Amino acid sequence: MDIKLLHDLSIQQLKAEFWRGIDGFFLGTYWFLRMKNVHSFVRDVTVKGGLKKAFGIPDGVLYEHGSDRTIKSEAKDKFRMFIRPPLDALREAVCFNPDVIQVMDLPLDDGDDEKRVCEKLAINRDIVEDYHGWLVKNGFRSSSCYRDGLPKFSKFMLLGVCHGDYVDAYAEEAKFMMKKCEVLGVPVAGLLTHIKGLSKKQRYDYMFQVLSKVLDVIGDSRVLQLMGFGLSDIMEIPRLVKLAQKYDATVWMDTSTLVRNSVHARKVLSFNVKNPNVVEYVNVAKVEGAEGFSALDIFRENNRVLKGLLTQTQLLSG
Amino acid sequence: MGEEIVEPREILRRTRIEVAPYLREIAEHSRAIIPRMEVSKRWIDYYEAVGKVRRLSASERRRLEEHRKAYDVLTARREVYSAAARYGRTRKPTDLIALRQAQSRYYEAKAETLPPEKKKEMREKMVPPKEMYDRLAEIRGEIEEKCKRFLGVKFRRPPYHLMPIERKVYEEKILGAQLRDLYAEAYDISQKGKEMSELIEHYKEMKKLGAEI
Repeated sequence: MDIKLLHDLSIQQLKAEFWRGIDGFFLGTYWFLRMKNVHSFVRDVTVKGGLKKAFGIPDGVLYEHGSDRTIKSEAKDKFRMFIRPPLDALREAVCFNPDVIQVMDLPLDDGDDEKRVCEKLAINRDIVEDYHGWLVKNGFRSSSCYRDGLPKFSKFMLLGVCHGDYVDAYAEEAKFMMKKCEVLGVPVAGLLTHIKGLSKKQRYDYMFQVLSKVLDVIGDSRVLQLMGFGLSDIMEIPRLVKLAQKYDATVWMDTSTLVRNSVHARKVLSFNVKNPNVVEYVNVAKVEGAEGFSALDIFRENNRVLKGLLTQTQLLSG
Repeated sequence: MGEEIVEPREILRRTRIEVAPYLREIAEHSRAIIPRMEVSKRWIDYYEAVGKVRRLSASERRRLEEHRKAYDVLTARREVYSAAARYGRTRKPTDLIALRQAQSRYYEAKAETLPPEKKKEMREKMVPPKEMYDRLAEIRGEIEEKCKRFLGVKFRRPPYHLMPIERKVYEEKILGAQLRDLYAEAYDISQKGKEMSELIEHYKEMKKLGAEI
């Protein structure tokens, strides 16, 4: 069993060396697509041999390149970003020379009917096929495969996102994605925030049902990524660790909440003195010894504490 | 006591003697990696030792660079084989990740053996066209500006607060139409890769042909 934390970092944070001492990071395209000279930025990074080389990031740090996000019709600023043809986005991703490339995907909406859901899932599967085909055509992947369907050689790993409208649908998607993708993502953020009328416990229960079903399918053969699982509720860690231990799974977690709390809210993960069983984010002003912490200090401290919590939980439940 | 200075001729002789058995092994097993690594390593050591005695000539520097690159490629290839064997035995995702990273390093090492101009050209060929970024940025700017003006006219914010009512209605209509066009164009640019209907058709065809989708 292995649990890794992937932090959602921006270009500015990479420049400020937030990457030191972390397992890996996730770079979404929204961080640079809004820049003034996107093309020259992409060209510079390409000529330097990729983002890791351009920023002096060591090889051991995992770099996951995100895909474009689709815009919801009710979004306040819908002109902020546009969806590009998936293969253009892939070409750009290859220029950044990451370890893992997220396959572009269409998320499901609450208002989607049965037909629309099927269409979207079919498109997602097509995009995965297209990505694989393009990489093979351009010599980044070999066409010969192992028995489980994965290519024998690949310069990049693919992260396929499994969407679904009920528990088994996620498992079905995972079954398809695992033939082409090394990492399987489950968009759990939506499960925890967008379901109306359910209590927090019920939401987490549903999320763990989905994860169990997906793990039933992939077992310990692929990496499972919890997309958008920012660990807003730290107290849910033991449940996740137990699940991962049950399947001997390799789990990667997005930690957007940690980055947000560190950089914007200036909060550190701390024990409550009055109730030592609770760990929560507390503003630096209220934490003894953390008053003068910069954003980077807070981020490093939170990363360290979270990793420590994960290790301790593994030890205790093992 | 200072270090003993050895003549470059003597270093060359020693290196040739050391390299000879590995060359015999390569002649027997043409795909052997370790003897090739040993040969490259010996020659790297030779050029480094000679470099301490005298200045290396241009061709010697080139050969040293070639040996270094060959050594990197061979090390990366060896890593790929060992990672592949480990993954073959265990089938664990952690070993799969290690294999992919080793393959990536091998690809990089191979790319380093290309001449710099060729390497730069290959990389630049991958960069998406500038026109696409420019057009999208342009449209985004136009939409932002028009939205700002539209809101200004609609809510009578300065400098549009003194505008007569007929003019306000007319402006709103014109700006609305322009915004609609811009959104449509942005949507067209973004979707020109493959339309949704095309994708659905493709999916249906594949399913008809019996593809496991």
